[in-house]
Amino acid sequence: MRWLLRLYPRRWRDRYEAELLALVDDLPPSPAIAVDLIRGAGREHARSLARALTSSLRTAGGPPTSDPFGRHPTAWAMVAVVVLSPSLALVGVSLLAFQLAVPALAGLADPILAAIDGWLVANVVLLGGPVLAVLLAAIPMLRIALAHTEGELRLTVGFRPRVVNLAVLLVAALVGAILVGYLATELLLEPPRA
Amino acid sequence: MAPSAQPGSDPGLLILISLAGGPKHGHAILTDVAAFAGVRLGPGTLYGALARLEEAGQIAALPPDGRRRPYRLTGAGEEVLGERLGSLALALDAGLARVGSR
Repeated sequence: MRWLLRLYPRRWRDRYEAELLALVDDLPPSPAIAVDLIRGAGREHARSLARALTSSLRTAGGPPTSDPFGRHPTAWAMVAVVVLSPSLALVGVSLLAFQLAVPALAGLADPILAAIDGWLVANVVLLGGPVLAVLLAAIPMLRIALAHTEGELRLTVGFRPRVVNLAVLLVAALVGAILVGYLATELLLEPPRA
Repeated sequence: MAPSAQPGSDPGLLILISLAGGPKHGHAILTDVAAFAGVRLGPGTLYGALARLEEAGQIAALPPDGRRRPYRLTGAGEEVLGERLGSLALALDAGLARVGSR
């Protein structure tokens, strides 16, 4: 029966294991006690998970917590730049090559566009990159808090702007819009295949 | 902790009532609750409720007595217990009056 206590979360065990063990030793072993301990362990894991989730989110404008996004907003903005870079490079090269007619880049852009044309994975990466980058740049600026007070679960959302994250978010949104516009134009203007 | 209309289904309330009679360790609480409410709490249920009550500041742990650690009711716990028993008493009075008027 004692081994069932190992099912409890580590932090909970550090505080209560010794006395719960003393109590379990005092009681005659029974399946009902085993079931009760298993249910108790499940409940404590659920509580521990809920507590971790709540503390990982922030109250609007509140003090910093263990929230990995909120603690390192610039780092996440940099991750967003990395995620965005293939789409940004393609849009940048295409704009310079075809809109500003830089001949050297036209020679570079054409084979790349031809290579990825019709390649589903490349298209998903190119279109998904800006969407993911927008999220990665935006989430660290949000302050979301879940509070359970007087039997009600309350959600509050705040916004704390950061220059680097806002800049990355705007560039990602612009790149995404250009790609979507390009794709839509291509679909609308492309003659139907026989 | 959400109030319960049935004291027997609320281990927290049963523990508060038990500790209102004086500090007790886990085994003594189980025995006491079984005696006054006829409810057999399991050890996992008991310690889950003790942890929540301690976190809420309604009970406090006393220095351990060997492997056992007694708990006592705090001022906040006494207040919560009074409020909850008060609401239960109101419901009980209303229920008994209605049953009696039939």
